[in-house]
Amino acid sequence: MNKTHHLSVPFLPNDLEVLEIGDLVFLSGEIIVTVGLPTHERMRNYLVSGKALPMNFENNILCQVGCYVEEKNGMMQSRYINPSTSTRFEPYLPEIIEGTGIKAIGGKGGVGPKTIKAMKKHGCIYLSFIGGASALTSDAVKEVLDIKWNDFIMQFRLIKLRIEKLGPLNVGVDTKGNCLYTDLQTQAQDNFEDLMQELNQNRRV
Amino acid sequence: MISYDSIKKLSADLYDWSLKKIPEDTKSRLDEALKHETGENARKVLNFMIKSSKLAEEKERFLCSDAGVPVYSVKIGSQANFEGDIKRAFVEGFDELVKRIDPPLLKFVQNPLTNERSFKGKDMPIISWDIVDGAEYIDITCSPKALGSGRWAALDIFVYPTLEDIERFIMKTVIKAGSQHCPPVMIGVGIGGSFDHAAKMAKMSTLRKLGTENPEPILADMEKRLLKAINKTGFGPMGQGGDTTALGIHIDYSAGHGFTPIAVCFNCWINRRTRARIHNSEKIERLE
Repeated sequence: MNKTHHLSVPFLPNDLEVLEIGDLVFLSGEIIVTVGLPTHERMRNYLVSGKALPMNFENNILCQVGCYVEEKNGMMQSRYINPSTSTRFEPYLPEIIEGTGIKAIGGKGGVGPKTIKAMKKHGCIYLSFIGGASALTSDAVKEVLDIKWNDFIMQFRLIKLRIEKLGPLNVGVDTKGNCLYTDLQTQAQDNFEDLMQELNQNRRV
Repeated sequence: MISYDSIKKLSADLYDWSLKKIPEDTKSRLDEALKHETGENARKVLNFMIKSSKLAEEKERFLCSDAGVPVYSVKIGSQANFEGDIKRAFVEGFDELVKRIDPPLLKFVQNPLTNERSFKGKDMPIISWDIVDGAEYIDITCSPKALGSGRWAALDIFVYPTLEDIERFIMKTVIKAGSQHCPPVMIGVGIGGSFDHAAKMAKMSTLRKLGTENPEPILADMEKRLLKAINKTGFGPMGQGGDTTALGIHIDYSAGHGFTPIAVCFNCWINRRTRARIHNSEKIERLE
């Protein structure tokens, strides 16, 4: 039976160890979002060269989530958010996890093997958003707290948001390195020949 | 006479509408999937999808933050009368949409050589053209495409493939995409013809209405069996595990030579697609 958890970000020590793949999570607090490949690349380059990042990622979550920020009456507000495919950030995520003290990655579709290894080592988890459900997901955003690296196009900037009950997010990778996506992929590949046999047997024409 | 401005406005409207409402056939398939889905999390995900798409439609919000790039299929009636440069009408229609759409669009048009992003680009919008003999209208379908589902399409060339070879390639492509293209997906397949024609047939097949029977019995049977098999792979909605990995699979074929290209492509669950006809009287008939 999968459990549902309500967590605050930044996470507290021991918050994440109890989570298991398939559990659902609702987040409140602060999250950092960007869908920029060049943003992830710059983050990695900063970490490698010992340069300070413009936001504190410790115990936080970095989400591969696109966000449209609009300025109205001098206030920044989010018009909508939604996740992007996380596997394309595989070249950068392991070093980002290693170097920032981040405790969760959010996105959709799962992460690659090197990222899972780094997650296990650093007690980090992966949370999957529901793609295409921007209308409901965006309601959780209450405030735009900070924007950095404005030289990028909007969705590539680092954007810090205050959110309330963001979710349901699904635990795709837990702190022990268990991965829902790897399990399902293995299962599908193991069943492949059986499915082919069934396809052949039932062919009518 | 169909005016330049009417084509421009309609092309922009079709893109706008496609971003805020999922097609009726897709809604029905999602409702149906929810009735049969046995996965606990899968049902929660499907429920969230249905609820969110209703909200998007009611409040005119985006279904997804990623508006993709504008892609159109245009069929011009041989009896249609129109004035002005029809290709330019689509380009300017998109320019105007960028200025007026609410909420505003993010930049998604990417130059693959420099990776720069903007609202303009070579060959944008992507349009495929066709002619309908005898018709006095222009039939336009808009189906924006984004990275999430666009990335997993595949094409391979076979020589005298058996039906099993064809099905094996489709299944392998489905399993490779796994959880990543925002399932439950709509799948299109093109078999035969030439390299480019197979890809076009696959794309056009995703636009066929769900629930319509394939006129070719071999393919009608193949579609039914493959849909069952794909939904047994276990990936489920958003890859959370479950019985609903695909909403449908549509296959088309063409005569060709001994070499047989097979193309497979995907639409994510929101299956963005709008369609309208503009007649010589300038009356607009919404088909989707």
